[in-house]
Amino acid sequence: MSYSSYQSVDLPKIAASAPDMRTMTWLLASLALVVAPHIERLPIWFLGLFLAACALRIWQLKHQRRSIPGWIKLCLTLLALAGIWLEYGTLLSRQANTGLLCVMLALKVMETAKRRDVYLLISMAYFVAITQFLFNQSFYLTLYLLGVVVVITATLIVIEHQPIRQLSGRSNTQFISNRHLFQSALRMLLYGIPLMATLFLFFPRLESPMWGVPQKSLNAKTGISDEMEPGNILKLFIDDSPAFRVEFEGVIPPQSQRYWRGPTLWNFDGRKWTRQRTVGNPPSIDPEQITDPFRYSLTMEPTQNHWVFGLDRIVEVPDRTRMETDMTMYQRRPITSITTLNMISDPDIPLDLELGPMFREAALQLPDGFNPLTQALADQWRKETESPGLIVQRAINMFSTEGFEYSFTPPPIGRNSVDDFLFETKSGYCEYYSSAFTALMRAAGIPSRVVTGYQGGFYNEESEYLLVRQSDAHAWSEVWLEDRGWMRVDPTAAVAADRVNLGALDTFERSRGPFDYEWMRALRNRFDSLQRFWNQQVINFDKARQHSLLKPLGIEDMTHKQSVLALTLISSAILALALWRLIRQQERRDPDRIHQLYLAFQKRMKKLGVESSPAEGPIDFARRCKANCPQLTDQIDRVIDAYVQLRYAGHQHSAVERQLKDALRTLS
Amino acid sequence: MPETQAETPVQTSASAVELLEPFVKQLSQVVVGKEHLIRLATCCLIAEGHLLIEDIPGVGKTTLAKALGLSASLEYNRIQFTSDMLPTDILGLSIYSRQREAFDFHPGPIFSQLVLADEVNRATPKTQSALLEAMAEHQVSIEGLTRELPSPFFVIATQNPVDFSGTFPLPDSQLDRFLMRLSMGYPDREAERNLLLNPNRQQMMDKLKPVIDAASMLQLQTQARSIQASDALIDYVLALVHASRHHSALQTGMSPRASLALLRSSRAWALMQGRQFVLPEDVQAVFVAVASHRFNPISGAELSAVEIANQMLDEVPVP
Repeated sequence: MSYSSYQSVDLPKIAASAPDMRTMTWLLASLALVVAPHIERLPIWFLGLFLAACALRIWQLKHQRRSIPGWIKLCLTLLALAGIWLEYGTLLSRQANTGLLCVMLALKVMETAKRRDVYLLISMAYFVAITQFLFNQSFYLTLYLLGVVVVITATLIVIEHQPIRQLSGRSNTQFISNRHLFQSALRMLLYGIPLMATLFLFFPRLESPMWGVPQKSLNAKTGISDEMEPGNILKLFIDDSPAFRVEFEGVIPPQSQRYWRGPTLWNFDGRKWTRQRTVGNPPSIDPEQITDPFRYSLTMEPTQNHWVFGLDRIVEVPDRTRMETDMTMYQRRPITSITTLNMISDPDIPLDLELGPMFREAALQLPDGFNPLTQALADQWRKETESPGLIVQRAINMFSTEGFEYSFTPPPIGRNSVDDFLFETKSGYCEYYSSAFTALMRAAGIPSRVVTGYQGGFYNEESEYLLVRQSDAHAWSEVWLEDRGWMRVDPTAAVAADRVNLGALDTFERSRGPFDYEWMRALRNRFDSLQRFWNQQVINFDKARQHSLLKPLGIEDMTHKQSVLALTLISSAILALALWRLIRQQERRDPDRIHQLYLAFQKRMKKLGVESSPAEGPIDFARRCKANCPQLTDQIDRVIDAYVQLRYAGHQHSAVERQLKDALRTLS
Repeated sequence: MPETQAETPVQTSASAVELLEPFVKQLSQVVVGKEHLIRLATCCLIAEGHLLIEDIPGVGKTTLAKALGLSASLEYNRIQFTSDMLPTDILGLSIYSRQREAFDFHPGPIFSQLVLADEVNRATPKTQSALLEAMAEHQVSIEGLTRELPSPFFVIATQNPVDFSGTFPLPDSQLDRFLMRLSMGYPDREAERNLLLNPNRQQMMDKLKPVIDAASMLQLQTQARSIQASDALIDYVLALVHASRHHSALQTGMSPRASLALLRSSRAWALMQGRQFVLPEDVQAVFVAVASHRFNPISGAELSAVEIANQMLDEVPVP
């Protein structure tokens, strides 16, 4: 008799009992998933500690061992604290704290003796999920964490089920399949969406999003820096992450004009180019001069830098941004959160028709005693050619005709870097070319400078925006010519025109990593619009946006107090609705409905030749059924089992009800 | 002492089964061929009720009561009821002590954990009611002093249903105080053969060992009270009670006390089956024993009370 499985059962005892293997497996899986994104920020030994803790716990469970003694746990805790301190040098930073949290999580795994401990770990797991956003707020991470939250919630269901599962005396997956488990968890989280949306809309917002707490984090993109020496940009080439996205109003500049200028570099020490501190404003522009400008808004990804990028020539500088005489734009604070900047550029306006003596001197500066061959070549050109414009042309010709090649893996260059590059290796990428070209021009007496920034970008046709990645980083040169001002010259384009037309990555066939294929890149470009939507609608949802969203509802300038009030009211309404639904659900799960299922069972058995009598108890009826249809013993037992639980044992549980339905189905 | 209570491991119902199976087995050795009856008697004991055994002499009523007392290691007293008995013969009385110059209370045979009231209908109503009041209250008041009866306190009364000469039949109100009424009946052929082949019952009785101690019995009683009875099951109990109240062959139906008794016995029965909740089968198992002596068939009824009870079980649908 299968209901004999109810023997040896005591509810309170099970409630206090230790987690069983299924609970433990789910728990450890969800912990591993939630900690995974933190791994790169955690000390190396964490992985060992976590795995060891999991393995130990599973082993204890399998062999019914007692938990390890308290003093060992204490020692481990102290060791872990010391380890965190050694790793981060402090216990009070964002990273140290998350590190500490994760380590404590791993240690807590070792002492999950009771169900209470499992609940604690589950709450911790939810919290660890939130801490991920301190480091990264990308759309994909959010998706991942949503998935993880589903798993954690499923774990919560598993532990909730444990007593009644053990009561049923059946194997775990028989009790509730993993698919059902996921479905329940998902459904629970879906119920939470209205509350989430309310909190998102009404929670008091700060002027700027609160994410970008300025602190060096491992994840922050370095982006373009204010120095250039061979190798700097190369690091960026392999970085596929977005630098910024641009939305154009009207005309979109062609690929060859998409030079997003960043810091302008003046000083050359023979190897490294650095900025010149210039004080003052760029010459003002007569509004009448502006004829056919590009209007665009540029949304920058967070970096730890101050630089702001724009097209030549910037006519209108965005808010909170300063522009120096040499067109270098920057913000006083590092750009640590997603920032949208509105800009206007007119490519037809010349740059600095007048060049002051100070600037001329800076633009001609060369270190003494470096690159003699270059100097000699420049002197020779100066003798042979009259106009500076022709010298520029001659240099460009030299790059395109004299066997120069574009390469990400150039041979090393020595102390006289320009000489080595121009006369020996003849191989390199944009940094090499712009550096050598600028030095050559200066040697020939033509004021020139290096400009770093980004070139190109992927235009997303569907969502109509331009995506510029870190890998689009570029360096080019500018020469100053009489009557024409600063002219952009891109010597790299002379060597590898594709660099400008296709972008640095597509210039090479070679893939840069295990997942770098043409179609993958295409896919990534396509999915970037999702990320952009996320950034604009969710991450960037600040006070101004909240305000504009609530304005149509007649809510003007909500104070924090009012928004808390609104939040409370709406949340209460939602919760009341949920409560009402819950009560209705309880009503629907009334005994009558279960009785209907039992009647269906009786009907089936009647077809099989066992007529039920109304005054017969379920167990007696089942006994007769099994006597008549011994081949169905298992199925009958399962039906009666579930029915008796629901109707007489007071287990109003949807899982059992589902089991009853499933069992009934196997009978038909 | 709530703390110590919390730390005592709760006895699981598995141990209820483990405790009771040897108990029933031992009794079956003495009272042969009556296992269901023995189970019902045990159930009555666990449900904290009193038992009325009604049958002709010589079918083993006394043997059952005695064996029950010995196996449950209950302190046992037997009172043979006669028509000249006085309440003080049961309850006890105070006698003046010359040495101490005071009244000393001499407790009667009722001060015992298991009392066998043999031929209870032979005593006068006055004496009967003294016993029945003690059964209901679990205490006796003598000479203005209330004295607690021991715990567990279990009365097994017997009466002869055939020979009514010189008896005072128990009125309905008194019968209601017994949780169950059992009828021994003749043993079947095999059992009786067994009985004849091993004639020395007395020796067997002497060899009986206590199987359950009084503390365990109290614990089982506590557990039985907390057995789950779902709404559906209560509905079933109500349906049975309702049927008894509207039965054409019955003068009166089951009182609320009777429905409480039915549920209490069903709970105890479920515990004996090792379950934490009551099934309709449990109610059915105890129904006749609990209900039939409370039925009052109209004169000229075709069916006896027991038959009516059985008929109700067949007719009342399980909700």
